[in-house]
Amino acid sequence: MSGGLGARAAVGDGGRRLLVLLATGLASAAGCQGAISSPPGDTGTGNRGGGGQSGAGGSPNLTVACSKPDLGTPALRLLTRSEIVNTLNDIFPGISGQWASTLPASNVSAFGFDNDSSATVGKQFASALMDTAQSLATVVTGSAAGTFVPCAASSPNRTCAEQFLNQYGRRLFRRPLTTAEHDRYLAFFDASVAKSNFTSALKWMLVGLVQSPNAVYRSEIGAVGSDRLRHLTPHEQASALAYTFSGSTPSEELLARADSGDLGDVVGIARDLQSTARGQDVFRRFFQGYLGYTAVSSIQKPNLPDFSAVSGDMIRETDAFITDVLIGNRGGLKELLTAPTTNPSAALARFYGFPAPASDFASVARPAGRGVGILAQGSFLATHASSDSSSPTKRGLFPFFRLFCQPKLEPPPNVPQISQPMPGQKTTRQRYEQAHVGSGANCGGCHRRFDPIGFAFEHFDEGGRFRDNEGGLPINSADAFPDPSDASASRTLFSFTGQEDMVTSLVDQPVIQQCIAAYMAAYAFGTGEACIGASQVPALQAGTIGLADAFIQLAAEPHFKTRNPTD
Amino acid sequence: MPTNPRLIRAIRTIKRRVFLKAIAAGLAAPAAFRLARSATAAGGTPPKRFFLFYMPHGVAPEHYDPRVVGDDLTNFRLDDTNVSILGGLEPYKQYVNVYQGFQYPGAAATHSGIVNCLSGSMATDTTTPRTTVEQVIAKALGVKALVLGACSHLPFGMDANGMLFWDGTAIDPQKSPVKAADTLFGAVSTDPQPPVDFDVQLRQDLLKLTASEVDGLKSTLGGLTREQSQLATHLDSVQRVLADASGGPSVSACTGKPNLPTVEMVRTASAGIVVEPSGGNDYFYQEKNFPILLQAQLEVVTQAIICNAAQVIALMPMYATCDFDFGFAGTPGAHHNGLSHTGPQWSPGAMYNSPITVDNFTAAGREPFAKAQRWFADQLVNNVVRVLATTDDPAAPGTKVLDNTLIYWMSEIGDGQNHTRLSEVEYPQVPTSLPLVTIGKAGGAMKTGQVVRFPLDVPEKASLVNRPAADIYLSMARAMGAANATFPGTTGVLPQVLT
Repeated sequence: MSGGLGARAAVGDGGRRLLVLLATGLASAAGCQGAISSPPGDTGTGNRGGGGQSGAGGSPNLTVACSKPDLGTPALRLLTRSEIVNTLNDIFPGISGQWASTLPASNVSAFGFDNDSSATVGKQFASALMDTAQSLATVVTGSAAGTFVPCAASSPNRTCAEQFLNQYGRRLFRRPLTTAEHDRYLAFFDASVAKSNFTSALKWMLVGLVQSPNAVYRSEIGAVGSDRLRHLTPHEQASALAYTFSGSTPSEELLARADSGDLGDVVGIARDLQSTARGQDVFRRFFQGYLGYTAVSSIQKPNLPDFSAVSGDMIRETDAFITDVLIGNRGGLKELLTAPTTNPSAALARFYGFPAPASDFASVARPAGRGVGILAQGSFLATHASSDSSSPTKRGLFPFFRLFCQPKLEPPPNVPQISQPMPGQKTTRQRYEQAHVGSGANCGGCHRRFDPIGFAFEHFDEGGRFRDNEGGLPINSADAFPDPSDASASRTLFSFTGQEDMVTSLVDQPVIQQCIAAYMAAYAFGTGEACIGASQVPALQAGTIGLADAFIQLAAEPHFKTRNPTD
Repeated sequence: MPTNPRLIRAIRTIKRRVFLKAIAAGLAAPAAFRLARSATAAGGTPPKRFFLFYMPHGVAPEHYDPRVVGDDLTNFRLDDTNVSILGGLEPYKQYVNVYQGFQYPGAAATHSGIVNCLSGSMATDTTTPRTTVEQVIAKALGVKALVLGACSHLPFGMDANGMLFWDGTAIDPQKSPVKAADTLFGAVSTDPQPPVDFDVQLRQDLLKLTASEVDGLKSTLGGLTREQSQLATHLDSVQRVLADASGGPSVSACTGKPNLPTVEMVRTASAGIVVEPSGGNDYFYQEKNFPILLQAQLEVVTQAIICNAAQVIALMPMYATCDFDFGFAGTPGAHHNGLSHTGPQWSPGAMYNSPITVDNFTAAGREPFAKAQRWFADQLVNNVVRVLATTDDPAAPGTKVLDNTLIYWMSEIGDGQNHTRLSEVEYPQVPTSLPLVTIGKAGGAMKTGQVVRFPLDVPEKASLVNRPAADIYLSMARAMGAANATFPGTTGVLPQVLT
């Protein structure tokens, strides 16, 4: 395909349609080479209703073959919108809802996660951060001053302000303030009091602490040691533990351990943090980015009138499934992909045609022959589908990109049309095969690499419901799984008859454990640097550790404490 | 800024009178201040307003191109086909310019080009700082641009397909029309004696402290160029917030809160919901709410323009690859994958070098997408253009608001199927593709009612070179009074559009 793009530039104006033919011909003849851009969808690079693509996108430069754990670079990691809100709610409890965040959405990285370590503070963010901090500070120093500034009632003076500064400055900076910082803020308070009053001066001092770079960045800079490597300080490690495993700021207890200079068992701390409700949220959030399944509630399926009533439940089904299978049962990728259970609400079970659960989102056994694992759930199937039909391309791309870590592919500029659904005349598979690999089609160079994978899901309609046939036509969900590493799509890994058969064979592929380990590291560390989180791959491949524990073990990676000296 | 002492005194007198009158009427100080400033505007040059309206994912060119009669570029029809994306503008075409023969910079041929199409920047990554046209104009005018969106990015966060507007970094549009309206019009208070506001001064003091902290941290990171670059961006952002804090609010020409029925419907429906990423469940991200959200945003835009409550506004309805189903617009199908990517679908006998006409394409493959894009155009026409063209400008008696407004309507690509990023000159010499339209006279600074076809005087098709779209931005900036605005890659203003 990259050849096609090159040819395009050479043709010049006036020959657009000729170019179309050249591009597709080249793509077809040369096989399908990855290029860094967005992956092809059915007929381009779309995502439905806002989110599918984030979960189905490719994996630019994620290295899966690692001979040893490596060190990455130092970083200043800008807190995400949710991390800032969590932090402020934790440090100033009991006033949630009395202040408002106007922070913009965090940017989603090429990996699908919103915690990219290279994120910067733009003007909009800086302005919104100040507004948010002002909203919070107005409450803290106003209606809630009795809670957070008890000395204000009796002694609204410099000493009171200093007590406040020492207490909350430490929490917001996640370390004690330096003398220079202490003096700078107190000087600001003094100058502000002279212009206004105690409350206003204290309020704006707090705004300053909240929007300080020492508060909004997680420092992973460390100090250069005799080995010329950068060693993260105990306070930096405490912040890394807290945000990576609980999505918020370190607790007083964790800060106290950092103050002592010895955090102790960091993996144990990570395990404790993951066991909290917020820790489980952070772990599930990985899968939300990895699978892109939360988009399902924002989309419509015009031909399925009941869909919108249950689409929100689909997210909760998948959340509950992850909680049960991965957190509760400490399962691995095998269990994630092949568990014979699911967690629907009663309404969702009716939509699927499943038996009702004992209570909403309780685990139930899936009816035999109706699919297994997370890739048979509505949140995945409906998100990776068109509005009016299933999509073998979107569904096939997920394993291709996210389980095999194949690099992104650049779609040609002349993606042909997939014909409209033809109920009772052609199946979805027939339409896709005609458009992509049929007579006269020129898309097989790429689509032969992933469409066959998607055919395994053809017994599920665009809403994620099982179907025995498609408009009365028999469904063919059998094919051979193309070896994703073979750009010519001439080799296959195994044959399958349908979704269950496909994922059951899929879990035996060692590379998928390498791939998800790389994605978990990219999520935890906010970067796709190579081999910084691969230590647990052998254990994952052996089935001796689950994904939740592998995530915890990222705290034991050399990269967690040590960095290369420069960028 | 006037330098004549008598003029300065006169302005101060008018401001003071109107300010006191407004306070007495129950307006809080900021609103009264805006109103006071409007008084000076009303007596002098009409205030100009700028509105940028994005439409995702291009057009079907055969349903977009204006039909020029002969060689007279001022004699054209916008409703020449059965769909005619621009058809709704036909009654207002004396205000319209349609631009042909322009291109966007950069090699990116797909949606990723959305990140550079409004800046003139060649960069196609998401980290290179750039500034888009509405920000350039706003800075030159000394006002803050209002950037709105309706489902303008993914629920989970913002990827490249939602990064249309930039002010150094990508801007996340305000997705709540309620919040936008309250910010613009909601400062009504019954308190005749507003308390002394220490916040203005302390806010500026604090921004200086924060800037010094960012700069100080940056200086400690010797050798870490990436982090220093991060903090340099941060420092620049804080300094620009500080610059904004030092300026006054925008000018308003309305004496009361305008009627915003659709905004109030959204307020009711979204009560208690804030725009937060909660896994795609929020009201402001849901497909079913998109039509009313866009209409409410356009309602805010129109009233903000009429009242001059925001002088520069940009609106992004949906992101580039959004696949909302357009059944609500009478043309079912996912917008991006189902409607836009409809394939060339030439009619039997048509060749690659056949003219781009409706006859040379199949209706079934092209009309559904054209109808979807016509829906976008109709939202602009019905909610904004029609109102502004028929409303007397309260800030400039004797003129219509559209006389003093410049609307720029655009998309990030040309042909929705082929992702073109230039107005390719198709055989036989039919300029086409990129939808680039201006509507309005910008206070008389724009010559309108024409197809602006570049180049006008090159006889041989083979030698034609598309002109950078940044030349349109430069021309618009000049028309808006931004005399010193610049854009990367420009070759100069378009004299045929400036009076």
